[in-house]
Amino acid sequence: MDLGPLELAALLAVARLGDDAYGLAVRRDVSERAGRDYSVGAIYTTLQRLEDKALLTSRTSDPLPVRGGRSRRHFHLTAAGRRAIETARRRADAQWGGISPPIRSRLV
Amino acid sequence: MTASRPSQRIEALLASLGARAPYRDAVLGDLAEEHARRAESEGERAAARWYRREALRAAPHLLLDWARQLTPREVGRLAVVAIVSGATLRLLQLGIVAAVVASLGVVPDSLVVVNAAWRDVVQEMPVLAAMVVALVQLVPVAVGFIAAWTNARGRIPAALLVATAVAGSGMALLWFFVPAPLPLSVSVVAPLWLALRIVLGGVVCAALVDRSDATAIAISR
Repeated sequence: MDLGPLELAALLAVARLGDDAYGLAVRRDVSERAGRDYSVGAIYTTLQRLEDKALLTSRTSDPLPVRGGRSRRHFHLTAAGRRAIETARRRADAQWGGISPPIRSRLV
Repeated sequence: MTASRPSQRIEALLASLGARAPYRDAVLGDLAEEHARRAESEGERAAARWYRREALRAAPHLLLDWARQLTPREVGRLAVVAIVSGATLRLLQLGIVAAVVASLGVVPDSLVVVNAAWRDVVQEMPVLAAMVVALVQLVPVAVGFIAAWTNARGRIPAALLVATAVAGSGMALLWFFVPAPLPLSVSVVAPLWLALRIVLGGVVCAALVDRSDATAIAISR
């Protein structure tokens, strides 16, 4: 399954955050690593798309006063999500194949 | 200490963009949570500024979510709302001017007669003319308000749709039926101004109705 850059970043953030993966935490993680400020709406649209693709599942927490009585929506990786991450990693490794570390450092 | 709450009016506007409840609540909840965190660390004003900017950035996503879940039946219903609202708006605007002209003893049996009589009203009774113009200007706001009022699931999208349909049809009619090139003020600015007033009606409705709903929910909690 092909993933866009933001989709992959969000999927990786959910994998890293584990049980703490809800929209705001995913947004912080993705924004810090990408070096750009993603909007809450953009992150949720991406998470929703990943859920539609069955790469993520979500559950809602109890309502919280700090959220105006709204629940948090926590995301979890599915087996298909984990496979998609592995596939993306293999593809990236294949693209970097044949490039030795000194050249890599010069490229970066 | 209770957490700082963002503007309920902006929350109501975002809620009235018609996104699905789980998506909408997740986005609004995240915005509220981050607002509270920033209010504590950076102060209320900075948090409010951040919230306004993020609300603007979130709005297109909420609107897109509304559009994605539209069923053919809802599209049909919204089309009917747009057509009826557009026709009502034109008739009301014309009707108000015709009623004023008729009250002066002129029989408004054609547009030419109404136009000629209206020019006399403007010259001879400028205060009355100004009041009528103000009333006519308010009609699109009322139409937008009613379109939003009748579409609780997506108040602002409904007003946006009516505005697009009314302004778009107005522009199309001008371009098709008026052979001479029209000044921009007539062909573009006037329809856009009309659309803006219809959307304003929708925004006012969302801010008033959904805000009072939100307050009622908050009180019940």
